[in-house]
Amino acid sequence: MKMKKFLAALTAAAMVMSMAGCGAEKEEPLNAASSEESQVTLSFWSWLPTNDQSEELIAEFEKENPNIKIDYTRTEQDDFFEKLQVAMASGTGPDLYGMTTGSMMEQYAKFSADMKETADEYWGGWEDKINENAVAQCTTEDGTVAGMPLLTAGMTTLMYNKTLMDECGIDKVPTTYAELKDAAAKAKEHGYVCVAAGAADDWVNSDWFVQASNEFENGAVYEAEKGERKWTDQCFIDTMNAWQKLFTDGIFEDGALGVATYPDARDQYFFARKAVFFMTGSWHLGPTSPTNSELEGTEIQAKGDVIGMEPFPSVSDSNVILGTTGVDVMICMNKDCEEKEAAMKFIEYLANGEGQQYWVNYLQGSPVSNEIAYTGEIDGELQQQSIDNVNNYVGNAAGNRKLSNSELEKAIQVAMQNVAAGADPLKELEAVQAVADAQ
Amino acid sequence: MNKLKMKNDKIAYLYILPLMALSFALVYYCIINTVVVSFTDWDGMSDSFKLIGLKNYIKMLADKTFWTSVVNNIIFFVGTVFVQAFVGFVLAVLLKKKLFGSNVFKAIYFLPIAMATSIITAIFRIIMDPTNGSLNQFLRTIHLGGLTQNWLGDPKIALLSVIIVNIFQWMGFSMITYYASLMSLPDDVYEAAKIDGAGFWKTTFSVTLPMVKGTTNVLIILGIVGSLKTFDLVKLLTGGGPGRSTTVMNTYLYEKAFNDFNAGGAASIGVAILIIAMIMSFLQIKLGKED
Repeated sequence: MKMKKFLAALTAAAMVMSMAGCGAEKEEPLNAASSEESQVTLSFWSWLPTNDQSEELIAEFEKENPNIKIDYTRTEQDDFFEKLQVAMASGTGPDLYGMTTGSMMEQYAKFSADMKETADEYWGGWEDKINENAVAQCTTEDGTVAGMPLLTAGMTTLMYNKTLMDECGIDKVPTTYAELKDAAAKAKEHGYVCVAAGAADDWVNSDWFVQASNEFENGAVYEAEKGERKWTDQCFIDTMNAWQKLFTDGIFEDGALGVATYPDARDQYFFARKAVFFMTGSWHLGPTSPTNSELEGTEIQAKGDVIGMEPFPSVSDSNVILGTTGVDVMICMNKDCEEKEAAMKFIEYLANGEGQQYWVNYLQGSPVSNEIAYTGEIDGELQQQSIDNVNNYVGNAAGNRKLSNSELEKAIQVAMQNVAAGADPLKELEAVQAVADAQ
Repeated sequence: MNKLKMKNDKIAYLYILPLMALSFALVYYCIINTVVVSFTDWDGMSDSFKLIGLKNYIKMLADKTFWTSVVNNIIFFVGTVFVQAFVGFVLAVLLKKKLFGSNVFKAIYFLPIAMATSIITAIFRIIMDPTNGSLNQFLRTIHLGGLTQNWLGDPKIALLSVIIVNIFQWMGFSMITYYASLMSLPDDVYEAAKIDGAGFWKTTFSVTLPMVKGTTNVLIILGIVGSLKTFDLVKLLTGGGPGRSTTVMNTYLYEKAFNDFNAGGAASIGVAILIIAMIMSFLQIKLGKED
């Protein structure tokens, strides 16, 4: 067994080193030794909380629990999973780690403690406190609760610059495709981009596809994922046609296929005051407050622009607006973690305690706790309205934001970029179906 | 005498032992292990895996995306190696002339090599932005707006854009290698060429170029290996998109290993890269010798 672990670790390390050309990193020890007998140190790796948030969030927990120290390592989400994969393969993973639902969760479930069992033991009554649907999304196909949900988020939303809308004569945030097209014409007339979109990002594209396809036929995308219907069905062709029109009708900026959502579309277009709207998700409500730290030093803050957020307009002829939602981040406990009780205290703090409240007030996402709601100050003209409308949109979501089959998701992402570049939607969907058939 | 020779041999082996041990542990063992993994269904993390014979290779050879990545690698190789070598050679010849400010230009051309790929790609993402990027803005300013492009977002030219950035990053290396080679050439050959009436271009392409043939061969072999190893530039600049237009073998390998958790499939692509690199390097060395 040891030899196999060694082989696994060495191979994974070799892969990373050969591709990235970097040396091996010093890994955090599992269950880092406590300096005193009563002191427990828990290693925690994730992409959330952000560096800005982690200082206050973790300091507050350590103040409440002086015998528990959290050794937090933050890594950007893309790099995080590489780091975690190598660490897990070599048996040097952290005590606690952030996770996404879907295929990633399924893969890492074998390394994670059964959250239901652990929570039942150390956190009585947790099931009444945590949103049932969110827990269901953190449950694997074989019924194991792989982690505790921390925040939920919905897709797709439209961040808007009310000041620029007024300047362009756009009376209201578009709710239909016709209104969106009209807004694009007005924005262009005044020298602005209508919607800044980062279509170079695979995740944004497939999130949009799942969300928009529900507007054409609610639930069809989930049936297709299960193999219960074809990806070449009319509702998916319609979705792809709607996607293509966003490019050909000048809704998105020229060259959106070469622009990433973060930081390019956000910083170079929306925050730089070159776009009236920005395509994003409900996790990005923060900038509706003019004092939000994300806005510091930006052009829109310098001009004192008023920012709000609304659901993305309907792209179907029915004009029905339907969002998707999902657990944006969950926390897993390493099954080798020796300090499960302390680890569960931290999980409780993040999912139902002050940590959850901090995140919710930061507008990082919607709460998973049934007992917590936004209690922060409303300091933006449109902030309350944005929070209410976006939360309502997410609350009435059609289904999950993500597909759990990574190969299918990738096939859709490739098809979407090809369609955006002018390829025939049906032909591209046939390629997606071919991937589904090969599985 | 024989005893002394044997003793010397043993000492020589002892000297190279640490290097051999390190090479084996860090390079050869990993290669052997990758070959072994390519015959398994390992997911990249688990303790257990099954031997599945040639299944990964059969799947790889039938995979359209794999062949797209091979073709992209070939285009990338042809587009970068020869252009890079040519530009580097011309710059080296010009810099050897010791014109005013040549040392400054030498440093400027070499500078991109000292920059991290992540920084270069971040800068070029901004430069190549179709709306706000300075490249398109410059073209519009000089009334060549018709030449503006969606540099990274158009599948037809995205690979070309990646090639341009790669040439920008590595032409300084070709230049400095040629420059070092040119400095070692004997002056009497040039004097003889001058007496024979050869001008600058005639001397450059009929005298200098054949004399630096060895350097050209080295640069081509390094270029073959370098282009097959290409990963970070593509990953950070386009992520392999739009669609599959810039997917190269290493980005596809990465996708298999880290997105699909198919380490066996990724290893089979790794082995294919190794075999292609070996064959191409062997051919280049052989052709270089025949010349």
